[in-house]
Amino acid sequence: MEIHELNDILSRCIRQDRLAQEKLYNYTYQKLIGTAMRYTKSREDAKWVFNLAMMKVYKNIEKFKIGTNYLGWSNDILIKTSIDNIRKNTRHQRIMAPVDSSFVEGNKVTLNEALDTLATEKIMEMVQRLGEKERMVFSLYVVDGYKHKEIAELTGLNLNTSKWLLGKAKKELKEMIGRLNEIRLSK
Amino acid sequence: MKQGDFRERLKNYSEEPSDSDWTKMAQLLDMSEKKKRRPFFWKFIGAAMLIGVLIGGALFIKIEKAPVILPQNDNKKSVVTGFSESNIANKANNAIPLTDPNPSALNNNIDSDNELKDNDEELNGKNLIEKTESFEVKKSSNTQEFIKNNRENKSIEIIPSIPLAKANFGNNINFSISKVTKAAANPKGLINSEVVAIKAPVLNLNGLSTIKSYKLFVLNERAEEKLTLNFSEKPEVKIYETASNYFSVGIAASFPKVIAADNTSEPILAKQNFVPIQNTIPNLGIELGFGRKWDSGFSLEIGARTSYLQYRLSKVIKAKLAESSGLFVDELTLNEDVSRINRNLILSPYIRAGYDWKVFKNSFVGIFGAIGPNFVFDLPSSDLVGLSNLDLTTSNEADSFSFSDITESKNNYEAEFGITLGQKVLGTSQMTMHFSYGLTFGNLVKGTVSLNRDFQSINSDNYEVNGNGLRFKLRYYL
Repeated sequence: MEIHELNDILSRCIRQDRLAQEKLYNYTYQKLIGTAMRYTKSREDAKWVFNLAMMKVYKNIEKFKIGTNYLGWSNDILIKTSIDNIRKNTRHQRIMAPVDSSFVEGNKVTLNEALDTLATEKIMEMVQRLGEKERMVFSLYVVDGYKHKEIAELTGLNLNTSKWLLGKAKKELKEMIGRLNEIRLSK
Repeated sequence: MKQGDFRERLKNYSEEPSDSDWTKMAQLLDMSEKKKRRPFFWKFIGAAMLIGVLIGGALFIKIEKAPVILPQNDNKKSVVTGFSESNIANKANNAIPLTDPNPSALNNNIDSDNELKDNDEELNGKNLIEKTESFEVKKSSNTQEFIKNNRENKSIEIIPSIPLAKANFGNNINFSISKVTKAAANPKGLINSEVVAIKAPVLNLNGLSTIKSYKLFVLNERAEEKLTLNFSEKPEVKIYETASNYFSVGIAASFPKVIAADNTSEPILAKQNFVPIQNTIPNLGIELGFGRKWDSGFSLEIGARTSYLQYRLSKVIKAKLAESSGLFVDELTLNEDVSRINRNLILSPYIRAGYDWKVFKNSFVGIFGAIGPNFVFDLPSSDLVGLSNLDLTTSNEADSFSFSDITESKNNYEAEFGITLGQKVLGTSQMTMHFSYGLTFGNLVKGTVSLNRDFQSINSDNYEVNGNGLRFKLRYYL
């Protein structure tokens, strides 16, 4: 989509033009549904969270400065909406993080290499299989580039818990990859 | 086998939306807009009701302050045609001489009429309502004969307590004109075909109605020393019924029923549908009304009732859940008694008409009917799991359960019919008991309660709250 076309759509969205809203939805969906999928456990959940985020986008579209980075702005909204959703879903869970989280670093290279060899859809599927918070920390840290300190601020998690969850996520991913390889080898 | 940096690939993951995706989004937007409009809708309803009350109040006040005696013009439109002329027979023993041929007598009479107007705006402390009726003079012999002893007569004075006419009205109120105090003739003299207006406050025999004035279209014929009045048209009579305003305050109890209905969705997780804990639920409220009651027994009232409705939907969930984390699957057993308590506030403005009959000196029975809309407002609901007031969570705290309630229909109309038993207390105040049957057109509430797992609906049940049923009210009239 050309930038001037996007700006025109955004302007019309401010006037609550339903056709423009649909166009913006389709454009944003195409670009950002992957983000929603990384933070949820299923495609349906991802669509639900994405729609919630889009509601916020439409509601706050007047605050968006046209001409700036729309996808960045809406991606932020989507990530925050996803985190809110995870918080709601897990508000009664108490996760006790182990004091020693040093094991996190050990498998870093191996896992990344292993993930690089897999198809995107497969990685997405594995990420979605992770527990809610593990998935959230993994996506924030590994894919979206947040630091643990930022994740702690954003999610309300303890710094060590964030690290531990990341380690747990990686460990689980490794196990998934291992099982996948076993299945492949057995075939 | 290397496919590239998985981070970038995840970040740039792209997928085309399907048509149904936008449809769902559009529905969300519609709901959001509807929600935005809702406050305006309620404000509009509130303003309309306020205006209605103000107009109604103003109308009552206007009626009270309206001149009681209207100009007695010759209004042919209100005259029923086909009335046969009936001559008024001369009767010497009832003959009344015209006592005052003096022109000043006319002025006195006119003044008297004005006094009459002023004095009769209230009767026994009650306001008079004008009601125009036509009546047929049954017997001319009942009508007083006027004897004229002066060709230049300018006024006629009729001796009080002489019956003039008797009539039977369409509404079967029998009355007789039993007393006439003053009358005014045309100042120009009684000549052929001239209209003579006579105003007469008349007491009704049964005390229900009071004739305040009537006018006679008379043909004046001279026969020597006598004047005979012939009714050439149907007389028009204005009846003034007494009526008074009142305020009523009361408590009301009704017993709506909650029923599970149209459970079309297949339970995914829980096999049992939600069932109401109690079939019949007490709905208690207060009622305020403002009305007007006529001495005939008829009453008309506008008011509003507000009531509180609380009901519980409950089910036991027994299910085996598969909790997946990674490739590992843990089987969890769920066995929870869950329920949802819905609370509503119902605002019911109404128009009510009633009719009472006296049975004893201070007691009466009556019938009444009322119609009006019901506006149902949501109050905070509660989800109960066992004894805790938390969302349902499984033993490993992996799953979070919650409820959501979609109310499909909340606004409806109702009619109410019943009987009244009343007793006068403390002067003009009355205490009444009402036994009635309420009929709701549409359900009082119709909704769907969903059990959600991780905010996704896993089981939906439809329910209806039916407002039909018996009602009881205790009211006090001021």
